[in-house]
Amino acid sequence: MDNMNGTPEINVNNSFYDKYNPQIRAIVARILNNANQTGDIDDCVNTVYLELMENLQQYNETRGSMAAFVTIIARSTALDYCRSNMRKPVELIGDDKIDFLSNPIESGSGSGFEDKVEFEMLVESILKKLNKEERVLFTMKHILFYSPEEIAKAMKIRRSAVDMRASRLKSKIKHFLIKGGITV
Amino acid sequence: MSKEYFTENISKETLAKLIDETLSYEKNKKGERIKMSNLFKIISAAAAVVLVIGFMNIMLPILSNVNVEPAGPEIAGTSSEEFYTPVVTDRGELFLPEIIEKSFFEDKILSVITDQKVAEKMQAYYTLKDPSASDLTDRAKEDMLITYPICRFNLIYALDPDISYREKDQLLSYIYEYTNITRSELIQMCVNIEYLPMELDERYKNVRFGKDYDTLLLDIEWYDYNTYFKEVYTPLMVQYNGAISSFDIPIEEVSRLTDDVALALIEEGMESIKEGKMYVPRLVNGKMNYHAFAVETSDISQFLDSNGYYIYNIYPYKPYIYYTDENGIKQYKYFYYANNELPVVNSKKEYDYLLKNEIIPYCDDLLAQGLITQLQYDYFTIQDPLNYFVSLWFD
Repeated sequence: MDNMNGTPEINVNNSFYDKYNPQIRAIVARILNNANQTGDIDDCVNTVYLELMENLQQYNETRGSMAAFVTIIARSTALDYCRSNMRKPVELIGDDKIDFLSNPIESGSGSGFEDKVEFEMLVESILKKLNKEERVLFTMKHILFYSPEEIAKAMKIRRSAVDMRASRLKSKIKHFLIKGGITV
Repeated sequence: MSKEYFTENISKETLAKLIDETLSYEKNKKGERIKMSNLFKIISAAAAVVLVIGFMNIMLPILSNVNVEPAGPEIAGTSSEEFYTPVVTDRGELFLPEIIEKSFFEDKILSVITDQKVAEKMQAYYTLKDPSASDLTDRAKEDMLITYPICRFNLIYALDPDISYREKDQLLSYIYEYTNITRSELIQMCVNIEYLPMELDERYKNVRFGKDYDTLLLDIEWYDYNTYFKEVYTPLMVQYNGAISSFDIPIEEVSRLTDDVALALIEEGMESIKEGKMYVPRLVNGKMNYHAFAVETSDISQFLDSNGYYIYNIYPYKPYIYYTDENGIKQYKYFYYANNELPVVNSKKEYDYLLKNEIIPYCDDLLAQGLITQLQYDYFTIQDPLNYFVSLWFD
């Protein structure tokens, strides 16, 4: 069955749909809203379901919950969707134009890393140095793209505290990147 | 040359773990009503620990997934509470023992009470503890021996722990009115069964108890905003700065790295103090307070007795421990029972059971692994929370 735009719609098991559709839509909406592509949310959500169908056999429950799997697929699909549809790059986290968390770090001489694998190991080690609240904040802000208001509500703290903690978290990560030899 | 996003260099496995952790955190937070006074236990603990023990021991129970339900107000008393006091008579100051040796109770008290109803009332509140009784289950017997170890050698009658003040006064008046027992006889009976009642225990001679021995009356001077900023917040910031100085960070960057949940909460707590919505003790009984508690209220008077003392309930008590594991990550272990409901260690008896069966074995293991020091072990396995508070506030 096609929708009016000619994009095939996916029939999914109702219980899966009921359970995960709100989550998928929320992630897609956040990413596309940040990239000013609000009108394409439905289209992108349909693409997510396609990706899920294609990648479902890769799901391994020992590595994470289904909710996490769905989130990862939705996130990467929405990000790819943004990049492929954008004429110019858009900062997904817009509070700082020189934000090393939302802008890519260039490799090569002087940057501190030549090898992607080495950079991945450094990133993983930095995440291990964060305490739980910091990891949750990092995930909400930089992985799931919650707005500061959403984060405040989810963490039951004031909006101003979110900004303060996010700023300090960024400084902490930056510190560890610098200590790891990365130029940011 | 390539470009790498920080977040896109997180492995899928780590990403899944981060997301699961966050979803779980959100879910727990939804069901949680965090009282600032509970959070402030960490804040003040942080301040106290920084001043006394050191930076790295700041307690952060909100980092756990345990559903931290509020324990209710810090106190349940009212200003018109009446208190149990020993009766001063011509036979010396009589008191109501919590345990009475069997023959003493039956021969010197029960058998001489001529009023049947009074005798029945005494028997209603004093129960014979006989571990050899045939109708006892193994569990009941074990509990009895834990709570009253003396009954292994002497049969005793034990006072109902839930007895009210009014009823205590009444029983004591019966002992005075119907018997000829003197204070020295009561003391001798206690000595014979190696029982030291609170009334005679030198450790508690300076203690101001409330309606029972789980309630303390504290003479408190509360922090005002300026004093709190000067005495708690500023030294804590100094300690943070000192602790991370080894990173060789320019001083102007240090303030950005000093955030921790505790500090952020301290700042939020300071706002509440300023607005008169939270009370944090500065001096307790004339001494600087190093125990973390705060009262979240805009009317502190409802928590004071008629003499202006703050009524502090030892229970419910929430034992937990913290340590740094082999990977350098802080870990927290909570021992109070949740069952997804309110945490409950509501009495010394419950605490004793928990201490023997869970806390001590757990801490023994950590100590053997070198993950906690002996000092921490002694702190975590405190035998009686009452004695901790007495030494803190009344010695």
